[in-house]
Amino acid sequence: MTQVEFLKMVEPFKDKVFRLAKRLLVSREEAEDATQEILIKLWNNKNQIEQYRNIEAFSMTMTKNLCFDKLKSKHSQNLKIIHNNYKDNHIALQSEIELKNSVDWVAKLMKGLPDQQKIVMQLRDIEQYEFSEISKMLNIKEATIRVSLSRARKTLRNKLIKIQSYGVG
Amino acid sequence: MVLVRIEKLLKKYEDGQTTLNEEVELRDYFSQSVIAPQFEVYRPLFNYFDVTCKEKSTSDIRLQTNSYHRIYLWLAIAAMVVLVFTIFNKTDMSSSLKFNELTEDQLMAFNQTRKAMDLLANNINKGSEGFNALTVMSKSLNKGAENIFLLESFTETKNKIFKINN
Repeated sequence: MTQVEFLKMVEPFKDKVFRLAKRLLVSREEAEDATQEILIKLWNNKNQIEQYRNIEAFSMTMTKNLCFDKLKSKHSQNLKIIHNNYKDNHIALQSEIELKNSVDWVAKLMKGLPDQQKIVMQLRDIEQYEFSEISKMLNIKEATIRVSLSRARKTLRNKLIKIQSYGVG
Repeated sequence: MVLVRIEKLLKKYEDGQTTLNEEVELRDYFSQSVIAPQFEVYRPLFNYFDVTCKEKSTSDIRLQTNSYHRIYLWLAIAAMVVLVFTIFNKTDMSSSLKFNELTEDQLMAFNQTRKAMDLLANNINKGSEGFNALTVMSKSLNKGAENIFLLESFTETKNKIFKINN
């Protein structure tokens, strides 16, 4: 496989990889790095890749695992990075109120969801994968996915109602 | 009619039972500028999905980084080899004896060797004097070569004469 062919192959889903990484790692730079890492891994294994039936699903699984590894090592070792990571979540109250754009609110609310719900929501509501595909990517049952998804959607709806009636999350 | 349908879909949506097509229907509904006020609370959610699914990675894909790593690896290996060799050479040198640590026998051998070397060197100098004669000869040889030029002009004239005669 040449480089051009490879790039053509990953083009349709490389942004999905990036978005999933960003959903989990929060910072844009880290998500870019993770995407890069995934693509290099794919490129290095390009000879075996052709045997996989669904490279896209395979890449999404890889992305999820890589991000979890990164989060885990971050939590266990580097205090400074953890601090950086939190900075994004702890927006001062003042600026919270200034978040006029309700769309920004949803992004912020999604950050507060448990990882599993975050991933499921990302894959279903944003990337619009079928439940069967998500099931393969995450190696969990469709019923479990539906439950996670339902919880995530209800949580977001309740929080949005709160924000709109009181102005604060 | 539409409202009833949307309400039903939203209920299904929250239970995680909607199909992809139904979810597209919901998105389409919420992308309208005017929607029923009771659904307004869902609008940011679906708008966010629409916006965020267009986000793209902006960095270029660099596939060659790996081969660069490989070059560095080989460079490192080469550097190691050079380093190891230098260290070995150093240790060899330092293990050789110092002059004042030599035994008498070794000193004698050293002196004799030096004498022999001196002798040889002197003779070489003598021999090189003989070279002078050789330089003189080569000079005269050069002169002789110049004279060959005269001989050439002589043969030329001689040939001309012969041509005329013929």
